[in-house]
Amino acid sequence: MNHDHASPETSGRKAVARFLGLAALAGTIVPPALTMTGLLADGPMQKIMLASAVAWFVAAPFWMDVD
Amino acid sequence: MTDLVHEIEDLEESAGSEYERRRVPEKALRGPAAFWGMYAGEHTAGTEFMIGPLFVAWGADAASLIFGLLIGNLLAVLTWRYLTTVIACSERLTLYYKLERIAGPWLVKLYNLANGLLFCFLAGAMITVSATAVGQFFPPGTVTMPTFADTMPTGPAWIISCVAIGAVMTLVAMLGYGVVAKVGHYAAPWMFLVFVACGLVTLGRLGSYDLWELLTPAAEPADGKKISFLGVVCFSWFCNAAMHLGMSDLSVLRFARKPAAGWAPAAGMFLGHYVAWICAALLLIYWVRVHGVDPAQGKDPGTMVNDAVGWAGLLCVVIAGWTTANPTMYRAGLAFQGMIPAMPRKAATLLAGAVCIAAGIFPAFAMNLLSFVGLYGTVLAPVGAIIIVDHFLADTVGILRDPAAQTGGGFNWIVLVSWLVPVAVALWLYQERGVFASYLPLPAAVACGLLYIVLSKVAGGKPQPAGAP
Repeated sequence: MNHDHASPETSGRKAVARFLGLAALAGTIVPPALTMTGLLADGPMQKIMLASAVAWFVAAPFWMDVD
Repeated sequence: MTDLVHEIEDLEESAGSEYERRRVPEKALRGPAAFWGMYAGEHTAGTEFMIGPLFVAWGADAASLIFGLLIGNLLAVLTWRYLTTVIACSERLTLYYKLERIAGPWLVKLYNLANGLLFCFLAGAMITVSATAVGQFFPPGTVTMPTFADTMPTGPAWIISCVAIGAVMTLVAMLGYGVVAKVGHYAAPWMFLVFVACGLVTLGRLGSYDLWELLTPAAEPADGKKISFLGVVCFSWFCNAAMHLGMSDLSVLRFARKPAAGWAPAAGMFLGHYVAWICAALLLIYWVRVHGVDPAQGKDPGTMVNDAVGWAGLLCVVIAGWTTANPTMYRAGLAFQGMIPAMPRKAATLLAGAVCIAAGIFPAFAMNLLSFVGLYGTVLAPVGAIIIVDHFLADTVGILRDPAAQTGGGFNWIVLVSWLVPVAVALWLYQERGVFASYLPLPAAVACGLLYIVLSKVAGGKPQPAGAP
């Protein structure tokens, strides 16, 4: 049996990672949607997507459980 | 006795054997969640950036891409659910061990050779796709990008790019691909969104949300090479034929607690092989309509993705290629090691990596991916048909189940003939008659299964392995 007793510190880190991860995913899909509708230029969209990619790979290991 | 069994099991687990030569025990079974994530990640690969545009090059129309892909992917999921997973949950053995029990260890070596080489060519196509992304980081004109028409390397810079990427992939695969598997798992949701982002940006640039109109080709392909509705259905059904009909995924799905886990490939099919393919197709449609690119020549994925979403897209192409090429390379190494057990795994992976790099340098594999994956299924799916007959029909038609295991034979010639004859006929039809490769896996598999039954009955109802005393 797997007894997962996460410490408050671990839970807090995971919560931050989850928030950052969700923000990164939003930063990957929302800017292109805005570009599609003409509300955001290509340049800023591409920069936000790149920053979101970096944020995702920082957050994902702390958020996603991998066996 | 029970303690001894448990001790052996623990030793096997600690040695990382993963129950390769026995049934997966109850305690190692997993719920469906593990499979949904795995399939979603595995089928959002770098090659998806090639397949969507190749459909455009082959003149696929809107109905084929919207409904044909839907039907084909559904049929693929049903094949996984009602054939592969049912057998996997009943037998709980790897494909290799099940095949050994039917065909004998020597024939498994032959299967390993075919499987290993095809894995190498597939990983080579992924190296080609990754190289188109890496080339974008150099000044324009440094690396000449291949077109759909290219089969040979485009120049020294292209060769160096492929060798460098392939060497890194091989090195990582030699060290064990655990880290890459994790990166692939982390990357899966992000990669899928990057595909969708490419589609959204392209729709905006094309100034239309009318997907039907956009996916309708302006003209028939000049070379007359057109893929029909049935062609798209069969391609999407059989592009993973080796995994479902060919039973390669027995090795994964034998860990499924219930056959319902067989629905998990739906995540990969409908996200990777439907949404991602259509988004990738839109990229080339934009370049054809706005930049006047000849669809038959196409445009390399790196250039199109960089133009649409910038460096995040290039990162996606590299990671998608890397995370899927590495396990493929690793599996190819294992297949070669299965042929020559004395060869260390690292040496086998190095050999596989060298073949992958050689294949990656030649764009022929990536640029002919629509045909290659059909041939891949044609060669390997018939082996699955023999397993299907053994599992579902052997008792009904009165032939021996697991004949090699029961008679102690080393080489079952009935399996060899049943496998090679339909494959040879199918390859002849492809080569000489120009039959689309994705039409061939199903007839080849059915013919193989029937031939196996007939030959087994002719041999007296019980297959006679040549190695049997």
